[in-house]
Amino acid sequence: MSLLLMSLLQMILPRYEVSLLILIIIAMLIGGICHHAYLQRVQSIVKKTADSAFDRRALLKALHISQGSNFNALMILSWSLFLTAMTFLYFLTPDIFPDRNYFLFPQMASESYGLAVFGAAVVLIPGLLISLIVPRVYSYYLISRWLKNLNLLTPIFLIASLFCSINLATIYPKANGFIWSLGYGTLLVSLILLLLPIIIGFAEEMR
Amino acid sequence: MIKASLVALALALVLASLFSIQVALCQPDGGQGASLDVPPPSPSTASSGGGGGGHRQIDLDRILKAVQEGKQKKPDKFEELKKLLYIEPFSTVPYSTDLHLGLGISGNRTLNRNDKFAVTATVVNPNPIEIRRALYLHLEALDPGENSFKIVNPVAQIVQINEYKDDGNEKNITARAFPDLTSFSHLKKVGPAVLRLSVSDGQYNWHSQNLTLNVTNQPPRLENISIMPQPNLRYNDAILYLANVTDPDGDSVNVTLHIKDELDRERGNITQMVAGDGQASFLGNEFFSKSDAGKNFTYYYTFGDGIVSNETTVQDGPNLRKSISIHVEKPWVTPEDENQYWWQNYNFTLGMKNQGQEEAKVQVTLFTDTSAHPWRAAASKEVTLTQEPQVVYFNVRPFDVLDANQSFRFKFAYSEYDQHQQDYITKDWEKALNAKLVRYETVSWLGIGNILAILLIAFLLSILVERGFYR
Repeated sequence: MSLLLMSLLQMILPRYEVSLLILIIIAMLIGGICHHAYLQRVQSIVKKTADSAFDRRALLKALHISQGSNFNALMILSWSLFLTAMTFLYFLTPDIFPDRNYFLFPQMASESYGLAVFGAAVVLIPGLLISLIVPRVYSYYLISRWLKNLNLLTPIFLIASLFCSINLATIYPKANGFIWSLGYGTLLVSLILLLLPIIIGFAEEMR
Repeated sequence: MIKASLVALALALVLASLFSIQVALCQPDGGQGASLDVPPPSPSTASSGGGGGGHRQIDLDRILKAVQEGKQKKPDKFEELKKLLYIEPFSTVPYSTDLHLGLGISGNRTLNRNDKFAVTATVVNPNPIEIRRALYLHLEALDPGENSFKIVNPVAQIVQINEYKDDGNEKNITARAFPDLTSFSHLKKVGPAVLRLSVSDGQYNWHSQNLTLNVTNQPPRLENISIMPQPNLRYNDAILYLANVTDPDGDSVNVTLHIKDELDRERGNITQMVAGDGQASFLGNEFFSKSDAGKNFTYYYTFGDGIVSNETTVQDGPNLRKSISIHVEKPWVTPEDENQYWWQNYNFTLGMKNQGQEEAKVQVTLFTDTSAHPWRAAASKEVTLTQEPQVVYFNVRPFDVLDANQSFRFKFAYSEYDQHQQDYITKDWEKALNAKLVRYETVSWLGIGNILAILLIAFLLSILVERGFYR
């Protein structure tokens, strides 16, 4: 009976790596929702206190805080690496998505620097789009120096995740659950660090 | 006699009708109150037969009077009576045999055998409908070179007596098409062809004027004559004779290939029908045997469209090369590493020698076959074979990442026939390729180099975007 239930659950539920991917996507959505809610809340407060009608663009301009070149560059780098690390963790070997992975591009995968080409493609195509948005999002928050320093750890976590993914690719067809979990853990921690300024800003605004 | 009977019958009908009207008119009319004072016909009149002429006169007078009164007092009834008594006038003109027959075709009167056209016949019948007869139409054709007309439509087209109409210019005209003749593709000769219409009503026969058409023919052409493959054919290669056929008229062209030997004798021939424009292709292998190796042959074509026959000049070929029999053995592969990774080199070998005494140049090609890459050419080279056995080898990297974890086989194909009269030898390799996908370790120059390259690109992107958009 329990075996039947287990097999039924296996049929219904996606494999746990996919469930964890959904968790990452949910975390990113929560970050997006917090940002939107933060702006809405600020707007409603200003609306209540303002004597006259105001323009939303003007409000956003007024909210803008320069976070500094280093922080902006760090965030662009971190988000680009985050996308690359996530793609590598899920799409580098045929383990999770057998029909959608790096090795379905045999010319690229057969080359010595195929991984670098694949990574560069992820960095340049979706990474570039995100890079155009990310610093603007952070510019609406008052980010403490402590939090900025904490974010310096993000690329380190992401490099660790990349190492784990590449290691999984090099040992394939063998698998290593610990390495995969380590890669996922570092990826998730990086995401939390990346979203932390937004979540803290929203929490403070709520308070 | 018939006319008299008809008149008598009509008169009787008139009298009976008038009698009925008179009785009706004399009935009291409560609604209108208008009645005619007409005495009823005397019984003696009705029963007198032919004896009471005076009484009949009187009765007729009364009837006429009643009708005249009715015309004035009840004009509606009078009109109804007129309609009732009206008889269509009919003609008594004599039957005319002066039919006007016409015959025409759509399109040009000078045409080739495959040009499509429609033949239309018109008949003008001057007779009125009462005396018309059904007409039976036949289309007749006099083909080029023939002496007599032939009927085109065995089943006659029938024009019924009521199938005429006025078309503005002509009265009583009708037209018929003849779908039995839409082209002259059946003709074996060209020249003037004559059409005419033959009409019969069962008693008289008519013929239309002749319609003369000039049927032409343009001869077919044979171009781009060749033999495939070229050159250095073996006697048992698939020898293909090709020629492009064009016929300006779109006729089907009968093409015959004639193969001649070195003594100019015909070795054989083969025929093919090409519909319109197209390519004639003949497989010539059936005409050659092992004894023909080293001999030179020639060929030519005869071709025609059923009217014009023609032939090409004599062409050279095929020049069959001298037959060499080679001996092959021991196809083998030695992987660079016993793990059989896809990225490694593999040494494919084949033992070969010439069974004859002379030297022979043989082209050898290596093919590998996996489910990801079926029969992919890996390498090719020309080797010179003598009676001394030698090992022909190809040290190549024939696989890519898609071949990982797959079994494979390989094939050596060569340009001469071996001891089994085959020009290839295959070998299945039992051991599958290793499933490992990435050739290097994580902690290696390539592993670290790939990560550093990704970091460098991401770092450059961040600097460039920050400087470009946020300063």
